[in-house]
Formats: sequence, C-alpha cells, structure tokens
Amino acid sequence: MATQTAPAPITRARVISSSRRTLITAILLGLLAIALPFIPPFTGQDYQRYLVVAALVAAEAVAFDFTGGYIDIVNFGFAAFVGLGAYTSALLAVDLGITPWIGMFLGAIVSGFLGLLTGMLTLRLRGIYAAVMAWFIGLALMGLARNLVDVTRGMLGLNVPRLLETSDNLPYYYIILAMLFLTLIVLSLIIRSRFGLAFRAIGQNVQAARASGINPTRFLVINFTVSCAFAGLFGGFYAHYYGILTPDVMAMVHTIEVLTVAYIGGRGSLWGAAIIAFPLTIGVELMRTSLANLPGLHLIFYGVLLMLVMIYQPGGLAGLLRRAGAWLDSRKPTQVKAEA
Amino acid sequence: MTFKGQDITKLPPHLISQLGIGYVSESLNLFPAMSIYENLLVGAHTVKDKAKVKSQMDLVFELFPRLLERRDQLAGTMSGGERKMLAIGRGMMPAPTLMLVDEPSLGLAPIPTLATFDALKQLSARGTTILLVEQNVNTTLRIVDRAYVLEQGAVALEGTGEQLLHDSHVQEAYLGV
Amino acid sequence: MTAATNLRQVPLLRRYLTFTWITLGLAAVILVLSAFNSPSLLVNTLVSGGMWAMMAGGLALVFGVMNIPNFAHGELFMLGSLTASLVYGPIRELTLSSKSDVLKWLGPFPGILVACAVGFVAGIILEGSVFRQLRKRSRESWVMNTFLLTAGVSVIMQNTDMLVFGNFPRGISRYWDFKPINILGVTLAVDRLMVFVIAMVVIAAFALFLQKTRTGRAMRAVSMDETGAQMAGISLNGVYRLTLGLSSALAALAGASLLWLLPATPTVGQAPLLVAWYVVILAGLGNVQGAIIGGFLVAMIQQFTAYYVSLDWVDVVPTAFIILVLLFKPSGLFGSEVKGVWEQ
Repeated sequence: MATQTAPAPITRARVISSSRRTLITAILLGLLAIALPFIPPFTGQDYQRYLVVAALVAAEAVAFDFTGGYIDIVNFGFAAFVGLGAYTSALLAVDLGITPWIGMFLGAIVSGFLGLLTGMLTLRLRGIYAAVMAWFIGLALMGLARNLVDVTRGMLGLNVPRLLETSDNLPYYYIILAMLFLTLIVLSLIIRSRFGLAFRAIGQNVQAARASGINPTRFLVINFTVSCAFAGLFGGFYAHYYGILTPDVMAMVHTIEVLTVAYIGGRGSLWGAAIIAFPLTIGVELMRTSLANLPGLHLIFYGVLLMLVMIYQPGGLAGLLRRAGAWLDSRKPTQVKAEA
Repeated sequence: MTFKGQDITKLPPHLISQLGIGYVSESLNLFPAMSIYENLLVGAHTVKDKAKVKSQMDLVFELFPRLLERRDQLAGTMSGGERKMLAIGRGMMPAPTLMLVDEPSLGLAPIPTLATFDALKQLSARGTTILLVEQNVNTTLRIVDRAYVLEQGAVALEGTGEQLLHDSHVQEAYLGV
Repeated sequence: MTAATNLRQVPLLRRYLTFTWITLGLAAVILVLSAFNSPSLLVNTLVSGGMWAMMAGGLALVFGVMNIPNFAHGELFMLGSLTASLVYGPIRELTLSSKSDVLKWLGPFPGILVACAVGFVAGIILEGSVFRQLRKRSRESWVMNTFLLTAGVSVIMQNTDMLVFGNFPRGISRYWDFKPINILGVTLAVDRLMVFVIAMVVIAAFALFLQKTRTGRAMRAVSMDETGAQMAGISLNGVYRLTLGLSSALAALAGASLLWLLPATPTVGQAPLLVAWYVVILAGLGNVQGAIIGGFLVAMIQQFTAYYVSLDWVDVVPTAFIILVLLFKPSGLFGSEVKGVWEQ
C-alpha cells in the first residue's frame, strides 16, 4: 500500500508545511496544464488532440482510483460505465435533441444508477465479486450496445452532435481540463471528509472497520456509485468530442488503459494518476502513430509497466513522490517546525 | 537457534518439520473440511514409508481412541477437545523427536484439559521430547520433568516440576497460595 | 460420500444444499425433457459442458489454493489452441496421406499432448516470475493485486501473440477424419465424441488426484490452512507451482481439444475465460467440485439461449442468471463457510 511509507512521527508543523507544499505544487502543475497548448510541440493540432485524450484519460483514471485506490475494489467494468454515459448522452441528443451540456450530466446519473445497483448486489460480498460482476455487467452492456441495432446502430456507429461547432481541439482541451480539475477537487473533498476516513478504513481492513461501527457496505456502495457517475460524465464528453460512438468504447482494453494509468500514478492518491496520465498517454499515442505497423505494441508496454509497478513499486509515482517529500522534510527542517 | 547441531533460524518452515520437529500451535491450524483420517494423512506428508504411516496412525488412535471412533468426521465439525487431540495426533504422525506444543489448555474445559495433558505425558513416556508452553501452571507442573519460568522475557526460575511446585515464589505469584 | 452425511448435521449447510439440489434437479429435468425435442441440445450441453468444467475447474483450483483470481486463464486456453495448431499442421499432412486408420486415430494426440505440456510449463513460469515475486514482497490486498497482475499478463500474451503470429485464425475443420457415429438416433461427429471422452477422463483423473493422492491432499491442505500445511512439512512454493501448472495445463488442453470449433486467434481465449468465470461465480469461488458441476450448468444455459433465443444473447442470459443466484445465495450455489477446493 502506498500509505506504508508515511514518515514516522508526524508533527502538526510538518503536516502544515507539506500540505502547503502540495498545494503550491498542485497550483503550479495546474498552471502548467493550462499553458501546455502554447508550448511547442503542443501548439499543433495533432499534439493538442493528444492533450485532449491525455486529460480525458487523466480524469477517468482519477475516478477509477477513487474506488481502486481507496476501497481496494477494481472496477473491471469501468469502460462500460463510461460507455453507458456516452450512449445515454448521445441518444438523448440524437433522438430527443437534448443539448449535450445537459445530456452529459444525465448520462452521469444513469451510469451512477447502474453503479448503485451493481454495488448493492455485489459489495456485501468479497471485493473480487464486485470486480468480476462489474466485468460481466460491462460485457452485457457491450452486448446490448452491439445487438440493439435499432437504437444504437450497433457496430456501424452512432453519429453524435459535437459539443462545439468548431473542429479546433483547443476549446475541447480546456473543457476536459476544467472537468479534470473539478473532479480532482470534488473527489479530494470527499476523501478529506469523514467519508474518506471510512473508505480508507474499509479498504485496509473490512473487519476492523465493521468493529469500529462503520457499515462497510453502505460506504462501499456510495463510493462505487460516485466513481461510476463520474465515469458516465466523461463518457458524455467522449461521445460529444469524437462525434462517433461505437460499442468499442466499452471494450476491456479501455479499462486496462485507465487502470494502468491509475496504478502507475499511485493508488490512493488521485493526483498521481492525473499527473502520470499526461506523459504516459502522449507517449503511448506517439508510439501508436509512429509504430502503426506493430499494432498492440503499446498495450504490451502498458501491461509490462503495470506489472513492474505492481510488483516492485506498489506505491506508484505518488508513493515515490511522497517518499521524496518525506526525505526533503527530514533534510530541511522548516521554521514552523522549529517553533513546534 | 540450532537443532541437532544444525542452524534452523533461516530454514523455511516445511524443512524444519522435516528435521523431526513437530509443532502444535495454539490455534491448531487443522484442515476443517478434511476428515480426521485425512488430517492425519497430511500430517504424515513427509513420511514416504507406508508401513510407518500405518503404525504411527495406530499409535495415535491408541492414544486417542476418540479419534478412531470419529475417523471419517470432518475436523471442522468436532468439539474443542477433540480438535486439540487431532492437532496433537497430526503432530505425532511424522514421529518427531521433539514436539513443541503451544498452550494446549487454551479454551478447554478442565476435563478435556486433563485428558490432553495425560496424552502428552504418555507420548513423552514413549520417547518423544515435548516442549510445552503453558499458562496453566498448576496442572503443567504436575506432569513435566523440567520447567522454566519466564518473566519479562528472561528465565526467572528453573527446576523439576516438583521443585517448582513447592517454590515459594511460584506458589505466591502463579498458584495463589 | 461420508463427508456429505456429516455435513447434514449442520442445519445452515443443509439449507444451502437443498437450494442447490433443487436448482440442479430442475436443470437435469429440463435437459432430459428437451432432449426429446432436440437431441442436439443434450449432446451440445454435454460436449461443451465437459470443456467448461475443465476450464472452470482449473480456475477454481488456482483461486482455492493460491487466492489468485486468474484473469489470464483464457490466454492459457489460447496458448493451448495455438500450440496444437502449430504442431498438428505438419502431422496432419502425414496422416492424411497415409492409409492407416491407426495413424489417423493417433494423429491429433501429439498436438494435444504438447499443448498440455506447454500449458503446464507456462503456468510454472508464470508462478515463478510473477506471483512468487509479488508474494516475496507483499501479501497485502493480495486478491486484487494478483487480479491486476493477471490482467497485465493477459494483455501481454494476447498482443504478443498478435505481433508474432498475426490476427488470422489458424483452425482445422476436424481432428478425426471419420464418418459421424450414430448413437440412439443422434448423429455425432467423432470430434465431439472424442472431446467429451477426453473431458470425462481428465476430470475423473483430476478428481481422483485431488482426493486420493498425497500431492492432491497437500494441495487441499494448503487451500484450507497454509500454516497447518507448513507444519506438516508441505512446501508452499512447491504446491503453488504445481497448482498453477496443472490449472494452466487444463486450460491449454481445453484450447487444444476445441481447435476444430474455435480456431486459434489472439483473442480466442476470451469467450472461454468469460464462461469459466461465470461458472466459478455461480458455483462459489475456489470450489473445484462445484465448478465442474457448474460447467455443465452454464453450458446448458448457453445452449438453451442459443437454441431458443439467439446466439447474440448467449452472454446476457447467464449474467442475468448469475445476478439472480447472487441475490438469493451470495456465496454461489456451492459456496459455504468452509474453505477448500474439493469439499462442499
């Protein structure tokens, strides 16, 4: 677990200093993300498209980490919940003419509702049941999207109105970036509330959490629902960004991409996934375009990276940075600490 | 830590048991969904000679006739005393030269406790060295050849069971006389 | 079985058994009744059921003994299918040109056996290079972590196969080039019959191995209590290696035996993987006996769906059925409080 490397005695002063440093780092990174499209090579449309994909994957990975990293349940149907939100929003726009700006949130509600049902069915069991059932439900959803050709046009793909009239990638980048920031803020606030404490307690030891008066199932279901709702929201963006929607959005490969980013970023940190998503996704997109004659190579790369991190660096990037932070703290005692 | 002149500190657990050290833990670690017979067979995992397995099993059944009566019952459905017998029986299967027994009286009513101690006494009379860790001072000291009192991690007293039973410190601190 | 009579003393377990047996009894009755309507339903259920039982049995074994939910089980099926197609290709040329019936009968076996061996070795390599490495470092959230690791293995194996051998299917029309056999009015291709025979023989051998041999007992002991098994002198690493090897060999055997039905492609293992998981969730995780019975049950659900509804719904109906079962019996049809790979 990522949390095992916490520095031994945490004084109040050190918490203040390191949380201030985290805040400053976060703001700097946020500014960097905002400025990125103006820094070469990201000024071109190709690279800006990579940026949109990266920010989307980042947002998805953050939502994924909210369950995977805190309550220790891997949502193997994550892509299907993304796809459900995408199809909901797209169909509302195509059939009823509802604007995507509202449709995306309705998609989030539908995905969240299915997450609620899945959670209520499986989360009272051992975590592995939830993971596998989410996978089954994902496959069933993908089957529906394929077979209900009258509604979804199946593998032919559904033409979806885009969010904006423009074909420029830049505005889309800022929309998804804003969504990413919002997700990070909302989910961090939940994690800092009493909910977050319960999530961590349950993720580490269900029995102990139950003994201290927490009803694990309720918290697990809340967590799972929230994560699925965010997945649905990003699905809406996906649909209205690409403008075409096929059942492949729900494919397992997509879940694997997201979970790899989340775990390499560091489970149970939220921001680790957001940071690592950018270099990783852009690198993989470059690899995919430059080595088009070797299809699937980027997936092998993802798989190897995931396994190496899981075995040798279970804390991921966040764990490394935390350790570096602790090392900095021990090297340079701050003024505040001296007072304490 | 050495046993018969061999350093066993770094040895993996399954090799330690192959050296002839048996261990009966306080939580017993039986195989609940296996019958008594199968539990004993697994206990003899390291014994290749079938005749030897048979003779050891006869010995176990002789010492604990109750296990023979329930030979095909699942370990998970037995009473606490019977499980304790089975754990000791399983530990006996490879015919160890030294048997470590951890808190055999834990969670047992007085009568099964006495039966367990009696069985251990018989086992030791047949030539197996038994190292017993117990909190039940009174009963333990009556059956052991040699006893050590550990206080805060160090040996505070040692002697034969009889000596310690009459030791004033032991009587005061442990027997409440 | 004496174990069953003793279990009946426990009221809680009796309730479980009743529910389970009613479900299974109903299934059997439906199957037999429908056989009058369409004999092929019964035959297909038995043929694919045998294969699913082998797949699911291996999956359940690995979960029961090692607590690993293997997501890469389908890739071992794929490995078997690929190996068999590579080995059988040249042999087929030889046997086709020969007039000897004996050669024609024996021809497919080298491929199937080599596939089995390759699966076994792959399982041992997987245990040593992946799970053992993680076990040495941390056993915290073991189940989820190994699930992710196997997902990584699955992605790597699938895409490596795609890079090296390409995406096109390597299939055969049949293994045994003989006239279909007629049993009780049902015409049966020899391949189907042989697959059924292979499955029955292997499952029986597997069951005997787990119940009656020293090594099989050691495996079951590890699944129930690792500390106890170590105290009895059992090497955990040895048992782990053998467990993953056996499970992988079973998956590869299934892949090789079904080559005439499912040609070798990088993703050929996905459908069998899904079915195997249906079965173990339905039967209760880590219960090999339940998984073998469940294999036939899921095969039946699939065959009925395909026959009465349509092939497109073959994945949706079992999911619905599993949801129903989980609602009433959360730990699966054969799930119980006692942990073990063979016992109920």
